[in-house]
Amino acid sequence: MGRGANITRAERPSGDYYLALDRAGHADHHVLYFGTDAVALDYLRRADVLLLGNSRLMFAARPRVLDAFFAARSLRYYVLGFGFREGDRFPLDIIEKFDLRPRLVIVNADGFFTGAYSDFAREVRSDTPIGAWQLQRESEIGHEVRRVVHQLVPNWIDLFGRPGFPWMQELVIYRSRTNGTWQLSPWAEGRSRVSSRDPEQPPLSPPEVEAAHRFKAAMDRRGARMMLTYVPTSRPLGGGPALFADLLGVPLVLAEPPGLRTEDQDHLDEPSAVAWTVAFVRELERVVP
Amino acid sequence: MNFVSWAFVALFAIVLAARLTIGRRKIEPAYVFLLILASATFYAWHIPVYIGILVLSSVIDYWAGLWLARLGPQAAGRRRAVLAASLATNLGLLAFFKYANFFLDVARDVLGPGAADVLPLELGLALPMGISFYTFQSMSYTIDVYRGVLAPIHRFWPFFLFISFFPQLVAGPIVRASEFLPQMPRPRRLHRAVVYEGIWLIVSGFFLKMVCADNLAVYVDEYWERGTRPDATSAFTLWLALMFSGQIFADFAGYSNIARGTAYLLGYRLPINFNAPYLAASFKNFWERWHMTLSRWLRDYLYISLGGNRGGPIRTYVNLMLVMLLGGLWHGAAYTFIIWGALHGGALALERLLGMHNTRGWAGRWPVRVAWFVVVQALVLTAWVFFRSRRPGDATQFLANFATMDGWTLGRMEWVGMLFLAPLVAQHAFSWMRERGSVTEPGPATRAVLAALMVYAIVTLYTGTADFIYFQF
Repeated sequence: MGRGANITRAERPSGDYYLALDRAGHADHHVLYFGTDAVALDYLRRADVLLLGNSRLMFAARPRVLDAFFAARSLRYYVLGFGFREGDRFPLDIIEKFDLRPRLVIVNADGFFTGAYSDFAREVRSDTPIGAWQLQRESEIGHEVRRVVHQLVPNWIDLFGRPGFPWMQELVIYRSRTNGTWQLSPWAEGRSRVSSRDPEQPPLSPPEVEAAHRFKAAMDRRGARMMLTYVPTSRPLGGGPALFADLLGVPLVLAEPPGLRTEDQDHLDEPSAVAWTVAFVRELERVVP
Repeated sequence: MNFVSWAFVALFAIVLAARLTIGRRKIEPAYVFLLILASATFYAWHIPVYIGILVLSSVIDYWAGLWLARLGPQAAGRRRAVLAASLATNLGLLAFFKYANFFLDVARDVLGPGAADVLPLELGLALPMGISFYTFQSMSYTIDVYRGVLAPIHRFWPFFLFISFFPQLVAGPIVRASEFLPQMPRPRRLHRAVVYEGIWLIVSGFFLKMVCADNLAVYVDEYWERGTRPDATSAFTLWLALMFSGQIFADFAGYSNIARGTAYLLGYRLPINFNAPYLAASFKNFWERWHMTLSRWLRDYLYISLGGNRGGPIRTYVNLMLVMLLGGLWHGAAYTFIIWGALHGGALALERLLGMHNTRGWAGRWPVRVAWFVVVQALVLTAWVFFRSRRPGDATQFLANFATMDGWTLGRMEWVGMLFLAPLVAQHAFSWMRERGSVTEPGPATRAVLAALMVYAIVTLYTGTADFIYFQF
């Protein structure tokens, strides 16, 4: 990818997407927590399958592959993951707040069962629906103004990055209203291979165990079947997926195709994300025929 | 509403347009009405229902002012009761919204594990925006009327504008009634010099906030927790503390500059709030330079009310400590803020005990002054560690890491990060030279060039909440 400010090259994907994140603001948590986008909320409510996880899942889950897989089975899906290393509490709040009744919940176990909110989620929860509405408008206006301004004057941080921080350039993310997937624009090429997982998984901590049981119980009460998966990363956040699957007695859908690449050691690049999703649905087919 | 928002840009554009048309003398009723409306909108933008708290606080103090004037000096007991009612309302609102959760925490700590079942975890109340500022401002009016140094105002809406005037509503400066109310009937046209000064203050404020403070925050927010881990080196913790000291100064001073600039364009002068605080050569001097309007408020309405330095040395030290403890608590409901206040209170008392608060005798010799300057700035920096940390234990670990005195190398990230401190160092250096008469204030041409450079820096170097967020992935 050539040198150039991402904001000037960002393109809103065709289809029904809203701005989830850029330097002017992060509306992603607010939109779904406060249900400020009626269309997105409607699709979320009607979803038969929810995919949950942190930003690693949001990068990895590619809609073209998922659309085909779930449509063939007459299932509607929604990827209800969040950035900010969000764990189980925040999506569970949304599930309960809007009384979501999915038939199947698939969780990327890596760093999910924390039993805690991220710092940002805590801020979001203390905000108001009006605050959420304002944030979304501010983000959209800032997005469009900056797009014009930086055609004329670059943002040096966006061009040259900041030593010590993984993202060299601004991250611009749009979120689909219809299935919740993220679309990065532009999406940086992966510069390094994803290293394989350490087979020696540390034992689960008591808070992780407690959080996992609590989450499973909440899903059971809603009549949702639960499965776990793992999105490959060079820096797992902890909580071995196999250990969680054993603990909860749920299926583990593992997909680890070779040659996956990442720009920042955490998140897959676009070709790798597609490869992972293809491998994931292939494995999923065994448990969801 | 935040200054760094498109909503504020729109609101200010509307009010400024009114100033240029229907408010050329700034005393026209239509313009004053619009200022009140804009201030109410500014406040309600956060949580609309909280405008009721602002109105309640204003009504109570407006009413208290009228009653105090009506009662006259002979009804001392009833005057005290009116003052007490006003203070109790303001402090009660502040205590309820700002400290209720903290008091619950303290109660749980004191009562032990059994209390967790009885007491709620938290009240789940959002803090009304600017409540610490407008309650202090409102109380200053009632106390001044009670003391007889200010005549009460007889119309509510001008009083409400004094309390709610939007440029200073969120983060000060804390304006006194005696500074603001006399300006209200005074015509003030928008002369060229006023426009230049206002724009200069606004641009420099946005520069401090968006370029310095926000960029420093990116480093501090990402790495502060690492500084509290046992393996953090001395150089890294010192770097983090310096970065935070720069961030908090640029953030507060930037906000104050924007407030003063916008107010000036709208026809009102607000007091200066920061004056190169890291040049302070004594703790007393630090508080004459840092958040000056709060220091002044605490001195005049708390320290002096407690007896000031009139009760002998011991009483003075106790008063200093009490004032700074309450000053710490004013910043936020947490043990870390109390410790921050206690450190400053203790330092002020010690400085007075040693005679270092003035330059008489041996305390005025330059080697002693230089040495004391180093002590002052080191303790200010140490206190910031408590101010920034989540828990006192984190802060002590952070300081213990520094005290190991090992690992004195910094990487590229740290050096690049410190570039955002450079404008603050330059500003302090300029202030140091100006105070010694080596330089004068820059002229209009120099200011125009500097303002253009700052605008360019804002556009090319601003960061944003998005940076902070995606670094947390």
